This record gives sequence, C-alpha cells and structure tokens, in this order.
Amino acid sequence: MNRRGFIGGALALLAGATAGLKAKLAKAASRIRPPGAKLGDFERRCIRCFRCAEVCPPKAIRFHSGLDFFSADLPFLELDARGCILCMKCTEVCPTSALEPTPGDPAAVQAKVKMGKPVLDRKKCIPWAGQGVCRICFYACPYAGSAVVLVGPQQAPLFEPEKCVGCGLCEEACPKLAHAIRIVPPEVKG
Amino acid sequence: MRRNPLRAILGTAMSRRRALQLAQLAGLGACGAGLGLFGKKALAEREVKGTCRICTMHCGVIATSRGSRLLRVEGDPASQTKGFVCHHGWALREVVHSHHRIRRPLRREEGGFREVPWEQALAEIASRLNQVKAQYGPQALAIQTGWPFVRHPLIHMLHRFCQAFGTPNLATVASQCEAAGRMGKALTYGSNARADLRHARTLVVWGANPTFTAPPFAHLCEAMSLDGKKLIVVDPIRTELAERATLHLQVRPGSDGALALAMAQVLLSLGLYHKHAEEAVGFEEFRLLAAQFPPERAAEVTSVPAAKIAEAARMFAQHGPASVWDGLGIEHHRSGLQTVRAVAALSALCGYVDVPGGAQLMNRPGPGFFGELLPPLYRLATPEPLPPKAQARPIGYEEIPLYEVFNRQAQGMLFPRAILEDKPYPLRALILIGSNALVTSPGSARMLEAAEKLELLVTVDPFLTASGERSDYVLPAATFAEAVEVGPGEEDAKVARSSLVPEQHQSWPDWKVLFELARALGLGRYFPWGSFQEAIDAPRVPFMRDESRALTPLAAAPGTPLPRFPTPSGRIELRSGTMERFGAPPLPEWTEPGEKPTAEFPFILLTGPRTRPYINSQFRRIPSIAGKMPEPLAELHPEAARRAGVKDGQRVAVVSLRGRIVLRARVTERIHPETVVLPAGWENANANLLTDGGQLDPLTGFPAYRSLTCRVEPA
Repeated sequence: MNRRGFIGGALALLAGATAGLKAKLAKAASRIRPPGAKLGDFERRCIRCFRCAEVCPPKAIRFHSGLDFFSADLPFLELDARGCILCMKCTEVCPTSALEPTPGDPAAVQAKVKMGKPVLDRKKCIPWAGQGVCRICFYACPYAGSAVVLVGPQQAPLFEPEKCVGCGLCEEACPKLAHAIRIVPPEVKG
Repeated sequence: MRRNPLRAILGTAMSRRRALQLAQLAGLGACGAGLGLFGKKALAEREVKGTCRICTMHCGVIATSRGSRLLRVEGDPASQTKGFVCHHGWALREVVHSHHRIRRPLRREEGGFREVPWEQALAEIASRLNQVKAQYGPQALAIQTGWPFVRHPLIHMLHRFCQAFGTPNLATVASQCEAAGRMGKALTYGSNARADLRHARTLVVWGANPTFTAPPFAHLCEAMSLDGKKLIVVDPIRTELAERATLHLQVRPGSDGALALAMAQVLLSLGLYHKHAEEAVGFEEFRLLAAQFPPERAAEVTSVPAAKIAEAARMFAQHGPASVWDGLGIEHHRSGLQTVRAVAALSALCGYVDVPGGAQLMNRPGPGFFGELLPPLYRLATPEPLPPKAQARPIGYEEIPLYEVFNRQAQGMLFPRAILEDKPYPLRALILIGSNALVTSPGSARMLEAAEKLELLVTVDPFLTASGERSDYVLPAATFAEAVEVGPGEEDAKVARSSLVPEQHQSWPDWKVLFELARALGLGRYFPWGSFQEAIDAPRVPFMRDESRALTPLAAAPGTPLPRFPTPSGRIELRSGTMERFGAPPLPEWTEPGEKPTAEFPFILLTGPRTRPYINSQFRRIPSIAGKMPEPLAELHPEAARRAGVKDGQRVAVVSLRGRIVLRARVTERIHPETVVLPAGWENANANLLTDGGQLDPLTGFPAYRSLTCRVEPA
C-alpha cells in the first residue's frame, strides 16, 4: 500500500464513520424520552439506573443498547408498541431529576409534560380517508376533547399539538392496518 | 523475524493451512454459541378472531397473542361492527394481565384471605350450602349475576343450576337495567322495539347517551342532525349529543312521563296523530289522561318551556318517520314503567310502530314469531334430564308480579329485605357471579348490613371487588377473553373455536365454576358435560314455562291474516289489559317522584349516568382507563353551586336522608340547575350510600336512582 492509497482509505473511513455517527445521533434524537425529561440536559443527568423502567406499570420504557457508544442504556419509549399512561411514577423514582418530578394529576401533567407531538397521516387515517368509523385515538386519548377533537360528519380526529403531551396512547391504539398517527419529539420536524 | 504469537503459545509448528482450519473450527463454534443464544425462537404470534363482550355491543375483534400473553386487540373489519373497537376493548390486555387479578380461590379467615385449592373451596362451599338448605330450605340460596351475563347463554345453565338446587331465586342485572324499557314497550306494542337509525328522519334520544353507552352507533345518532334530519334530545344533562341536537329539552329528572303526556296532548289537540291510532285500545281514555297535561302545566312540572314542548311534538309528528331511542334515564324513577309506556304511546299515536324509520318490533307476528308476549331475555330452554321444579316462588312473585311474568326471575332489589326481614322467606346464602352488588345496588348501607347477616356469601369474579372483600369465598373467574367464545346471537348459542388467550393463573371460566360447584353439591347428574360446547350443543326442551300466568298474543282465526301487533288484543294497547290483570293502573299515568326538594335537601339527586371511561363499577384498576378519570366528580350547575356555596374543584359533601359521601365538585353549565349528578360504581365515594333501596317502582321493582333529593355542602 502506498501513501496515497492509505490517506484516501483513511479519509473514506472517516467520512463513513461521520455519516454513521450522524445517523446514530439523529436516531437517538428522534427517540421519545420518558415524561418529564428535560431535553438537552437529560442525557447528562441520567445515570442509567433503570429505576424508571422498574416502576413503569405498562413496561413501556426501553433502553438503548449498552454497546451503543453515545446513548448507552438511555431510556426511551417505543410508542408504537406501548404508550405512556402518564402515571408519573418514573419521575418520582428518578434519583437525579433527569425526569422532572411531576404529580400524576391530569392538569399538572398537561401543563408540564411534553414528550412529543402527534403527526397524523390523513391519507392513512380511516375516517379521513373516508373508509369508515374509527375514533379509537379519541377514546384512547387521556385529554380527549382538548388534545384531539372529532370533526365533520366522518368524525375524523383533529389534533391540537399545543395541548398534546405526547403520551402515544393514540399511536399505540391506531389500528395496524392504518398506522396513521406518529408521535415525534417536540423539536423534530414531522 | 517476526514472532508468531500462536506458535509461541502452542509451541507447535503453525502452518497457514493449520491456522485456516482452526479458524473454521472457531467459526463453527461461534455459530453454535450464537444458535444457543438466539436459537430460543420467540413463540410465534397468533391471531384469533373473537367478540369483545365487555359491553353488549359485542364488537368483532382480532386478538394478537404470544404464548399466554395477549399483545394487542384490534377491531375486526370483517365483523358486523366493521373494525370498530373502543378504549374498553383495546384495554382488554390490561384487564387480562392485570396485577390485581385473583390467582387462586380465596377463603376468608381471621385477619384476611387465604388461598385454598379449588377442590377444597368448592367442597366447603357445597357443605355450607347444604347446611343452609337443611336449616332454611333450598330457597334460602340466591344467585345474582352482573353485567357480563347480559345476552349470555350461560343464563340457561344458571337457571338449571338454581332449579336443580331447588331455589327459584336467580336475579340478573335485569333487576335494574333495561327490563323496564322492554316491558313498557311490550305492554304497548306487544314486543320490545328498537330505533331504526337508517331510515328515520327524526330521532328522539330520551334519557340515553349513546355516545358513551353505544359507541359503535354514536356517529349514526350524531349524523341525525345533518342532511335535513332532526335530532331531539331529552336529558337533564346537556350531553355531547345534546349539543349537536336540533332541539334539546332539558327536563327536570323524574318528570319525563309528564313531558310525554304533554307532547301527546299537543298531538291529540292539533289532530297531528295518524288516522289508524284511534283503533288502539283505550284511545279515548288516553286522550282524557293526556288532556290533564297541557304544555303550560307540563312546563311547570318539567321546567321545559311550553313552546319547546309543542315544537318537539310538532317536529316528531310532521317530520316523520321518527324513532325513539330510550334509555335508563326514564326507567330509574318511581313511575319508570309508566314513563316508558307514555313515551311509547307517542310513537303509537303517530303510526311509527313497525314501519321503516319507526319503532322496529323485535318479535313480530309472522315467520319466526315466538308466540308469546315478550319472551324473557332468553327463551329458556335446557337439555334433558330436566331438573325438578323449585317448590318456592321467586322473591318478588307476589309484590311485583309483572316483573316475574316478563323475566322469570327474582327481583334482586328485594334481596336485602329477604335477608334482613325474612320477607317473604329467609335468604341466607348469596352467590354473586360477575356482580359487585354491594356497590351497585341502591342503599349500600343496608346492603352491607344484609351481607353481614348472610351465612354464606360467595363472589365469582376476576378481581377482588368491594363485594369480594366481604365474601366468605372469592373464586377467580376467567375473563371472557380466556373462555371459549359464545355466539353473538341470542338463540343460536354457537360456540367459537378457541379463546383469545389461555386461562391465566388458576382462574376458571364461569361455566366450569358452575358445573364443578354442581358436582360438589351432588347435582352432577344434571351437569354431565365436560365443556361448555357440549352443554350448548345438547338438544334442549322448553323450560320454566308458567302457563298460569302466560301472556298469549291474540291468535289468528283460521283463514284470516295474523293480527298486526302481538298483544293479547292484537292492537296497540294504550290501555293495557295485562296491567289491569296484575292489578296495575292500566293507563300510562305519571306520578311524582317519591322525594321532592325541600329546604333541607334542595337538589334533585341523579346518580349513575355512564361516564366515558367506565362501565358501572369496572375498570377502576386498569391504568389506561383509570387515567382518564382518576376520581369521581359531583357535577352541578353554577347556579346550584352558588346556592350551595361551593366552588369548582372544591371537595364537597353530598348528603341525602340515607348517608353522606365526600368528593370533588365540578361546576358545569351542562347540568340542569336543580340537579346534582353523581357517577356510580366508586367504592370510595359510593353514590349508592345516598340512594334508597326502599324506593322502587312498584310495577317493576326498579330503583329510583335518578329522582331522589340531596344537599351539597363544603366538606
């Protein structure tokens, strides 16, 4: 191997690593953190004690792999599989206040918690596409009537991102054949 | 020369070939280890189609499970409900896998419950039941079932069990739910009837809230105010549906009968009725009765302006065909049955019975006619060998004959009296199956006292309910998701192929509990089946007919067409001969509620309208549902709150003659200004501590849940 080849190869490797790293960071940033997480500060405060997952009644909290260089063992929620029931027990047990302690009272939760915001794909949503009656997101929503309202003769859901706390119960409940709702982290563009 | 580390370690000659061979071996080993780690293949997910039996809508669902774990429940697009499922069905997996479920049979001992094996629990229950039987007679046992057994084929088997034991006292949830509506319509049209949402141009939702109680039909009701159709809502609460309504009559609780008679008066005085209505039995007498309620007088009684009453009556008659969706709101009063009849009379006057868009008779003369006036919820049938008939009469047979005639059951509201006062005979053992009677029956304080006096109280339930906590034995029942499924029809008790998930812990499906208890009691010869499928498939014969009190519709003379309505007279009966026969006032008279607001108790107490999250006393420990309404709220109008001196969000005491409960107030303009609305089914703020188990509709035995009085004060 000559010098030129070596430098070229090293540059290519670096570019590839940067791209990979960027994708990895973007993926970590697109994860929904448990309720009460102060974004930006959360990664620094979390000591990876797993207590949040221990108390979580629906066992909704999952973790990045321990081999993951940047976000090893950080908790996140996979709302597609399991939504957060907003009991706020994880914020009570968090020893470092990485999850800000919040009472499990619906009004307090709505005022303080912002895990994500809903993005609805109207082409897939059953009532918006004119394929029938559904409303399951409306029934699943803890703030039905404010975070989601039903509009029109089809009673299609209309989300109010300002009022939504991003618990993901709607995303979990959205029928698999539609899969129209996605909760995205607050600052990520849907 | 470079050193070869491997060679240094192994101390042997290391050729390149040898190294490659070694690498191959290592690769194989790694593969084997990998298989060992990941080769425990996750159990395959399986999908089962079934029916959600949480409420009586019976939506088709597809359940995804892995092993014994239910992962997801979704609507089945191929079913009758076309893929609809609400938050209850969706929360099924939380119900099935709840940490609060009972795992093994429990026996109450000093200082708490102890787990005992099934065989022991059943043997002990059987021996104590036999003791009660020897001491007080077999009729001292009563079985009360709850909401899960509405339209459930196990009812046949429960009747069979009771007859085999020798007791006539089976009470279902019909003692306080829906039966008055069925009876009222049957006494007027000859059959139960339902609204025809598809063809009606006007829908009257009277004392019902389909948005919460019948979610699959909610959109159809809401759409009734669009496209030139009309929606009239009669409700003391401005419900979500009432907000969309063309006309909302905010009636004072308990005065619906007067409102219906006033509307009839408008129809009759303006000549807006159908020309065939005059053929109805008792038309002239009904006209005289309605004449006592001109809209001006009714306005005082009902607090609905006279002009609005007249407008509603005109809209009902002229914008037809019209259907009425009536609910429990008109049944839970002292004159509940008569109110249902008065409302039914409106459809009869306008000729909306048995026409498209009007009241659809569910038991019409013609092919498939049952040949009896309103058969019991199930036409009771049972396989051979027939158990002997119980000697005693069911509780309520003498005092409330109409209820027994139509339902062939004991009236469960009279159980506390039978326990405490030995009227008509002592009741000493009670089995609650899927029922939380100590919370959901009126007058809980008296009910608790009765429970203390019982010699044996058994609860069969998946959860430890408030009733379970006071029981001598609690048997863990499987939820419907764990039992083989029963068909959606009433008559065709088809049994599905498989349950949605296997049985959890040591819970048994209800049929197994019943059959095994029968065997423990020595009644195994009446229950020879090993599965519910076999029991359902066995050929059956009619069962528990009472010819002496049978209500037979008019039979057609040979060669003539069938009578139009399956009543004893063959016509619509505004004046009911059947009611006269059983000593009840034959015309749909309205009587005032038993309690009127006084200075001490200035508000009307309305308990038990369905809230969106809960059904009766269920789901309080299911997180995704409990999160929607963590605590009970007493709702009252701002004007009422001002009079009572309470604020929104404040903890208040609601006091009636019977008791006092403390809960948080919600001040909202949705409520009628003279009314306080309490949700039912909460153990910690039980609205039934305020209701009265003695204030019953004398014709049906239905409790007056919705027209008592109370006061509100800061707690």
